[in-house]
Amino acid sequence: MIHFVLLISRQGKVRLTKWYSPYTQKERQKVIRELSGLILTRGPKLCNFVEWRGLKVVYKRYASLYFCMCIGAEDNELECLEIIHHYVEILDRYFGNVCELDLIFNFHKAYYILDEVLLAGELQETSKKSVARVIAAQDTLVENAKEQANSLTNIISQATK
Amino acid sequence: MASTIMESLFQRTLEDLVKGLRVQMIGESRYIASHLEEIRKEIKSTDPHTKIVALQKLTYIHMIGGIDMDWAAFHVVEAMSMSKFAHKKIGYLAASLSFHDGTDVLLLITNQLRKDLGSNNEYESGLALECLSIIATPDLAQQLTPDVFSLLASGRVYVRSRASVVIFKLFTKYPDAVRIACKRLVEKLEDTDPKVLSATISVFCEMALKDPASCIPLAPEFYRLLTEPRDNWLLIKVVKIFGLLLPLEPRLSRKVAEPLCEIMRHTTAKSLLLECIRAVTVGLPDHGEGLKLAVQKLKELLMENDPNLKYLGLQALAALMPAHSWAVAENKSIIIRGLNDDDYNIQLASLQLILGMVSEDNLIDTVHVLLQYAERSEVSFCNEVIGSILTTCSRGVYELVSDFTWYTSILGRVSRIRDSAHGKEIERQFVDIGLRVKEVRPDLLAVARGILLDSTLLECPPLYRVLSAAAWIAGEYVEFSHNAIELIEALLQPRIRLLPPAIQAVYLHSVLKVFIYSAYTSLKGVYNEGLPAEQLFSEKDEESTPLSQHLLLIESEVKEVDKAGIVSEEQLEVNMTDDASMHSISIDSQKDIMEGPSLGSECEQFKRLFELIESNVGPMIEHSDVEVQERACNLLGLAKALKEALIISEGIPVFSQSSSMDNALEIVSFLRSVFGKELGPVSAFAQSRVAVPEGLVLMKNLDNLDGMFCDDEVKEKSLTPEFKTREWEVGPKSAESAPDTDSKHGESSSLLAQHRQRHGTYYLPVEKDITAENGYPPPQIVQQDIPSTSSAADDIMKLAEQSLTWSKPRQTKQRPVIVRLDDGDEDLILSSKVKRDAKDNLISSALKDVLVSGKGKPSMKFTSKEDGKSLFRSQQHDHNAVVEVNSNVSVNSEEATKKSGKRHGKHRHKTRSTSMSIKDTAGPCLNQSQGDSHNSHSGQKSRHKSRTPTAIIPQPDVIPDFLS
Repeated sequence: MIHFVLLISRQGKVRLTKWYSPYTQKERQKVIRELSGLILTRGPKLCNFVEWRGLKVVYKRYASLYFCMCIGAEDNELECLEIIHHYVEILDRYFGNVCELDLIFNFHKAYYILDEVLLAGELQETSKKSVARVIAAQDTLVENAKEQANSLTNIISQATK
Repeated sequence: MASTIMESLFQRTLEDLVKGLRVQMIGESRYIASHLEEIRKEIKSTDPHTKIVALQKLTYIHMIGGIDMDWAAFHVVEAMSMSKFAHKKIGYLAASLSFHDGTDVLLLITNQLRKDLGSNNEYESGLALECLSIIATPDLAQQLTPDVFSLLASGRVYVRSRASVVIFKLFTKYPDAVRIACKRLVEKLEDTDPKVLSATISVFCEMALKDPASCIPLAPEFYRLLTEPRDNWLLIKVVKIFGLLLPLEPRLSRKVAEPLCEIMRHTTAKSLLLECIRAVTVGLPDHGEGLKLAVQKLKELLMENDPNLKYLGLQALAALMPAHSWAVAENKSIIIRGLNDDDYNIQLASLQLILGMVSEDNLIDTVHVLLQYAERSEVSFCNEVIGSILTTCSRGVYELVSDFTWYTSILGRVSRIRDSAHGKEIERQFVDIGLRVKEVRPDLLAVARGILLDSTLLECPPLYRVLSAAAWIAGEYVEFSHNAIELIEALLQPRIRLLPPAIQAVYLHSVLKVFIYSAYTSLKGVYNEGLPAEQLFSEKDEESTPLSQHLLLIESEVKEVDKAGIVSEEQLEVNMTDDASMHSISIDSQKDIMEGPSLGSECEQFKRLFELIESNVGPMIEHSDVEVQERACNLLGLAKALKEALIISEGIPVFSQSSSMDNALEIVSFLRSVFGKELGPVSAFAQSRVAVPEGLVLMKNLDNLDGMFCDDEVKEKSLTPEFKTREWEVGPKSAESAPDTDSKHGESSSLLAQHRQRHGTYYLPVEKDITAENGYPPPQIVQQDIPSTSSAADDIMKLAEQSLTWSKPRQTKQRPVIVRLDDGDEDLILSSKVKRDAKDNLISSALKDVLVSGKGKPSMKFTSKEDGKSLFRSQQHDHNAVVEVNSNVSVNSEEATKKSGKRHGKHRHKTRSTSMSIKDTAGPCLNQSQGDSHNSHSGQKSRHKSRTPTAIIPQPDVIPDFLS
């Protein structure tokens, strides 16, 4: 299973973290520090795997962002690389040519999409289409609520003027 | 009302927060702190929108900066219970990111989760499931298992597939859930929807990883999935499961081999291919065709110029290595090229493969090639290589090494690598070899001598331990030395004050040993002087030295002889620098030259010895370290006593045949007899074999002695200064060790000049004032012939590919006797076994209960209940046949233990405890307890098996219809 997912920028800034195994807040920070030190220093032509504390970290760089996933010692690294790519493709489709800024300003959406793809550290949805459909359906639910809120505040703000 | 509107209108949104963070006008932490203040206010707002935005901002800050948000836990719960989906979603996100086992509000959310799990909106159920999968505690798992269980039967695929993953999470927290839900989970293996199927398979994959044995009954289901056309994601998991099951149930291989080969032949997905190769490696070690195919595919992977595939391919080769070394030998060139790879991981993988292929025949070649690589590569890899060489060569009490002269020279070479992190290990091996291998001691001494003479090593703290070993060897095996004086000079060179006190103490002790040795041999010669000269000359005893003969010679000869002695020494040093590996040959060849001309130099040397000791050891009696101080005092005292006995005025020794002479000889020969005894290796368990004498209470509490110790401490403190100045008031007063070097500048520089004169080759040729800076000259960097160009690297590679033979045997010289202890050596190496998680055991035992005793379960393909029962009975019968019920399980495990060789201890203990528990449970409900014992026992067996793969115990027939 996947123990955690990390998105780190080239400068070492954390863009997204998701923990499927229990790590305390302190451990999480330590893991992030350790792994950014390990991964960001690696050259471009090296393999995408790092052995770390008896686990394996699979990472891939897309533009300025490193997508890292930590898997168990028995898990398949290439499969994990494909999962990363799968996730990135879905993000790309959703945001339309996704860039780091999209993920920074819409971190919650990046989470929602990740939660559709992975559940409890297991790959949940292999079809890009159905992820897109589910996310779109949830977005409409959210938008409806927002519109209501906006219209309400609009009305009141009009009234208080 | 108005205030909430204002809040909502002027609230900074997430976007504002992010933008501000990116601009970072006032520094990130201050910016976040100011925002946190705002959030604290906003989150208490009654307006849901304001609250949610604040929560969202807080979540963001929590995620990026690891800011604690436990204080907002209650607000998170509030957000989760909001009716609007948009709000709820942000609430759940915050919960799954920030809640942990210690969050106190977890008790409050059970009902909320239950409500959302059962929601009509499938996305709300999805949120609740996701959150539960992360924050589940045993309590939550217990309370919500029924809800998730009912979702397993949900008509909506979205919910059903999620529920099947989450139920597994609940198993891990609350193992009893397995009994409730496992059957339905197994049914999900026949689900029509691929998504549900894939989710279920990943769950069983996790279960198989935890306890493969419990999944064996489901093999027919997995086999069906393997052969039906599926997507690769699913196939990878199924193949992985078979990779775990095959080693436990070899009979599966007949069925599974063909489909696996089929997949390997046709798939284009590398990930699937890799998984198949791994499964074949562990699961089908005897299936020739499958192995061949796997190795061929592996070769194809390695050929591709992709670092990922190369790395994984090398790892797969490493897994193949123990049983199928031919597969590794076939890919030799790729592996050796891997040593030169840019990627550290690939370098390491190659290194491990190469060392794995080492045998007695190719050890020398391999080590030479590896050392060449090591000396050219970066520090970390270099250390890695050296570490692996050391462990490989010392494995099984040096079972691979047949030529110890060579190996000591390798140790000597490795000792010169300055950034070495293995000083301790080299030290251990030096001493260990010295103790165990008698034949190699002269070589060892030669190597040690080279290390001690190289004064530049004294500036490499990582090598101090090596120096300590070298000093010990010099002292212990001094009888193989042809120039003890030189050893003493090396051991007393001024730079040794750079060493830590513990090692200085070793040096001093070695000086004592060498001194005793040389004094003894000299004096014995003098003592023999009373005998006729002819007899002396004919007596070519090792221990009779030319000192006595010197006395017969006239003084004018002394000069000439001295001159010759110096010449021979110079030659020795030249040899030393020429031959860095320091084979003993150079010294052996000197032997003849030494013996002849050094006749008679003994007297002069005796004098110099005393001078050396007095001038160098003298200052150490005020050393801050007690050990050094004491040894220095002893040494100096002894030297003084001997000097008084032997030498009278003006440095001319007068060997009066009086009582003082006899006295001196008595002292020296006594001490020599103390040091002359050979030290041997001692078993690590030797102490435990010594019976504790009667009346000795080792466990007695010593608390009541505290008072005495306190007194002692006080006394000691008051005593120390007296002791320091009591007897030895010779030599200049000095400060404590560290400033020592500066304050005694003048003295040490004169000593240094002396030393420089004697060992000119190790000093820089420039005649600058090199001592000005810190009192010690900078170490001379030994130039190594390191080829820097890439063509040179290629050369090494070619050489490596040619010289490394992994099949051809070669002639080696006779292996010397290595002292091995009958026990202890191996036992120490056995690593402690990882104990299984108690919870995992619970899960697997529960799973077994469900899967094995579950009657009429669809996966077993029974036609009726009756069949299931009879099968179960027959299983028990089989089982009993193996076990011999009356003598209980322990008998069987004893047998198994015998089969499995000499692994005992922990394991035996474990099986005994199992049999105990079985006896305990054999109560009124006999049938049940038998079932239990069967389960726990076979679980035990499988675990036992995984530990000792050689001992194959037939598994109880759990899937007879499938395997027949």
